[in-house]
Amino acid sequence: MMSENAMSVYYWGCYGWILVGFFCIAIPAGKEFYKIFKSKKPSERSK
Amino acid sequence: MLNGAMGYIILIIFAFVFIGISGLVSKKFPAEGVDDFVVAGRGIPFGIIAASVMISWVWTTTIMGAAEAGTWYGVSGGFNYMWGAALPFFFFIPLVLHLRKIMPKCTTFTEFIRERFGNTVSTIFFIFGLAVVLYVVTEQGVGIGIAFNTMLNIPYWVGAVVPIMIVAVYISRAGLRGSIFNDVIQFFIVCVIFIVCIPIILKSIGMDNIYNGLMDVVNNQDNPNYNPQALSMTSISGLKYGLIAAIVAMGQVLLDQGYYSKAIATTSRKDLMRAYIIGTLLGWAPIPVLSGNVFGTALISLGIGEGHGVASLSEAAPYIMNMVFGTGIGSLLFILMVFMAGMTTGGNGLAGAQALFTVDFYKKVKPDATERQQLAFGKKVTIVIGLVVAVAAVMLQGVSLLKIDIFSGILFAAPTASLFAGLMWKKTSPVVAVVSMAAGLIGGLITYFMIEDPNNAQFFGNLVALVLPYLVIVIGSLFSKYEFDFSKLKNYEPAQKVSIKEEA
Repeated sequence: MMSENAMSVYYWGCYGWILVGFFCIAIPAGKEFYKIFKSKKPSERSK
Repeated sequence: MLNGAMGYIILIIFAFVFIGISGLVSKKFPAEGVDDFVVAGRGIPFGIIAASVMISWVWTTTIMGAAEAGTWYGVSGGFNYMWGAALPFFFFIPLVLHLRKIMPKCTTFTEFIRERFGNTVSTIFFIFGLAVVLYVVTEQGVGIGIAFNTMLNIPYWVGAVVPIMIVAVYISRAGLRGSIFNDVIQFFIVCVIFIVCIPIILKSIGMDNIYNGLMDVVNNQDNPNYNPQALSMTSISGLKYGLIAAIVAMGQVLLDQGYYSKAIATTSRKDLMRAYIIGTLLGWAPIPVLSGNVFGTALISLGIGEGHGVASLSEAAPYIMNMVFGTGIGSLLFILMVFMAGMTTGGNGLAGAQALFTVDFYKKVKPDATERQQLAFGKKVTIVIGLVVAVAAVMLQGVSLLKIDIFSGILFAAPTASLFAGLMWKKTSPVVAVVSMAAGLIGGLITYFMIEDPNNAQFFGNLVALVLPYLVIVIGSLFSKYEFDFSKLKNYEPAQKVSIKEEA
């Protein structure tokens, strides 16, 4: 059976997990998203 | 308290935002051909795909179902939901990486099946692929309909039909690229809601209160949620639940063209692997664990159970949101999460169906069709599928989603073995593939109906549907003289124009 400390570590650890996951995805995704929308249309790019 | 008028306002705002984004995407990136429309020209980079994979795998049940699992199995509930639903991706990733390697110009998995096993088997897989999409999108519509009905008091059918049609319109206009770009926006919104709400809920209820409440669940037989294993991570019933989740999810991932389309849309195989691993393990996985812990165990720690404060344990997540944030903002945040989870999953499914119909179906029906005609057909058929799903969602009001889930597991697990074998083993013949599917389906259903205990029936029915086809394939292929030449897939040229980069 889990102790109170272990449960706290588990719950807050999962919170840390989502933070890590969010930043690992959000930073490159944000940059790529910005780059794509700032770029020219694909048809213009290939000219 | 939010009222019906607020519900309609939310729906109208969502409709404007999503359809507006699809308009922007289709204006900024007009489809230059079928490949550009259904797999975004195969040029979407890692981060965007990771966000898209993560959010499209967040179903309404990832939040509400995992929260319910937390009420049933305590601290192991969300975790078991997570590994069960994540496992299929670790079958899907090597499978799709291998597919891109052996058949670089492939777009749909049914296209591969046609080249590998012939038209008959491809048609069977097309039907399975379409059934998965109809099932997945309908389930999202039902989930959103229930949430809008119970929390905003607007008619169920409006809550189910309007979101489905919004998704159908934006996928129809903007194709896979529109779906992916919408996913990224919704990834940010859902993650921010989670990141902001979770610590507030934990602080508000208090870790010590949750623990003491769970101790009562473990020790007090009069507790409405009495469960001696509520504080154990090795609960046997929880592990069994995870295994069923894995089998049910196996077909939902391996037969959903939406995931193939995204994998094929990724710039390179290396980016594809990174995006799917990070999107699943780092992005998606904490969502069900946190839902199980923070919504599910928090609810039972308060002494609330079925008939003791809530009508059903599936109300765990909205109950906790309303309790901590008040019925106004709590309802709004919860509705936002469920709506976006459903919309992104539905969009992924519809984009997959669009690819199946545009690339495969229409070319079979009209072999001399131009790419322009294919595109026009793909756009129209997306709206038609949306309408079919909307009608199905309305008809399913009040039907147990759990029962549908059980049968979907048996139905969709059966073909996965032949898909795998088709990619990996030259000795598997079309006949063996069909026999394996039939054996899995019939064996799974017989097992389900022959076992009296409903939990065991569900577990063993799904297990037989998944495992029996593998046995049939191994035995059938070993005794077969059939050999497929994989090298011919390398030079496969689809009807539509496809440009690919050479990869190692």
